[in-house]
Amino acid sequence: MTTCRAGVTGLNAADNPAPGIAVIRSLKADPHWHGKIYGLGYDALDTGAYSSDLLDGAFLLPYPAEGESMLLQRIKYIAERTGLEVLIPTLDSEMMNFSMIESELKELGINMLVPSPYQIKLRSKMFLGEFCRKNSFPVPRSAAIMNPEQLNRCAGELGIPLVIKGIFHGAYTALNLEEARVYFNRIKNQWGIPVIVQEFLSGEEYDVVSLCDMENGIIGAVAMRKLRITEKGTAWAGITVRDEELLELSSKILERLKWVGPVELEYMKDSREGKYYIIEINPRFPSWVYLAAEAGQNLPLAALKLAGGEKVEPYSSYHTGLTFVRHAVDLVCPIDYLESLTLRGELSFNEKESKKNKKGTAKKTRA
Amino acid sequence: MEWNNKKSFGELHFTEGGFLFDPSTGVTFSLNKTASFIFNRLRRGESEKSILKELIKKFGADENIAREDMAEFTKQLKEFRLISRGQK
Repeated sequence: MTTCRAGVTGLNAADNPAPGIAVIRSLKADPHWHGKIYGLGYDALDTGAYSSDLLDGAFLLPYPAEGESMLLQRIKYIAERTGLEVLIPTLDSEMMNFSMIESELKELGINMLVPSPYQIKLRSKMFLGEFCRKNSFPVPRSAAIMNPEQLNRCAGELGIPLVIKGIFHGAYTALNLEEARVYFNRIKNQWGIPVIVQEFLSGEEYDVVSLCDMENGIIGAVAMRKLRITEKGTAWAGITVRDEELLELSSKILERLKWVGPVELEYMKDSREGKYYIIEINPRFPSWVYLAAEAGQNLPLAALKLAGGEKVEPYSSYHTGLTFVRHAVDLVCPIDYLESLTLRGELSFNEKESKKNKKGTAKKTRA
Repeated sequence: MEWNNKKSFGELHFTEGGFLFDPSTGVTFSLNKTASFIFNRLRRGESEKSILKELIKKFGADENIAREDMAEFTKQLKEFRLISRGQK
């Protein structure tokens, strides 16, 4: 599979970075990798689409709201152009559509390792509380609300501060009801309703990235403590840790979910009791997955191999104390990159790179 | 009296410069010279009595102050769940 043609989604590595670039970096980190990688984005300004050092090309996809049939149509076109063999979707918002067209893609010769629509629903923010309570997994109290008037009741039941979360992304801690209303509207405008309101727990945040095969067997798991967190709740620095209690809890949750594919489990370790509470389960790799690859578990590569039908031996260990810090880099590119993505929704770096070498990168213009 | 550690000292990452990392929690600590001196000997399995003796000799500290400092430091190690105290 290290010579295959892979498509990876989630290219926008901005303030709330999508995991695609980390997945691609992990694949390319393998010394035996000789395949081709196509980035699949949604907007001509998705930052990763311009990474000519990582991608062989980029294509834009229809937005998830356009539905799975539009997605299938576009993937068919991309497959005709590229010979796509494996797909790794990395965004919460698109995961249901990809899961719905898994068998159609398989018929086209495009393989994925993704959870079923039922599994995706079971761990969704709407149903996570119910799933955890039913299975006795510690979870903070939460409510899904449709309008800001319901915030008063939530504050009464869950207390203040409150954590206000989008159905797919975004999490803000509101210190009072006024702030809660502001965050409710911000999230509603970006991700729609319902908006999740969660009890605030004080403590340290931990994440586990894991991968399960088709038979729900765990192929690997790496735990990380968040060292720096942005206003949007995204880890901006972290360090690999190994706490058997945390890994065991994650394993039990995945077993109960009968999980297939990549997954990120987010926890809060309560500062008073030292107990782990499950905050979120995301049906994809996290944006920090490259840390796991560097720590000794290249889970994206394992996912690619499993999707392609290869047998993968489970990982048993990884390096602890490995740290990541994220920093922004400016990618400078010629105007025809933007032109190609804007007008045609695709960009081939092999063509562009050869043109760039012949013509130079840009013309000087006078203001 | 001996020091038993929950995680075993071998699991803790410690450098001579005084940087201590607990791989199970991801928490890091900066130890000063005296604390590093004590910690290094604790992880080698030296007794509290022997470390105290060395501490006085190396840093020329007053015995009572050195004893108090050591008690305070080991209390902190326990609070951060880096070690647990056990009687033999």
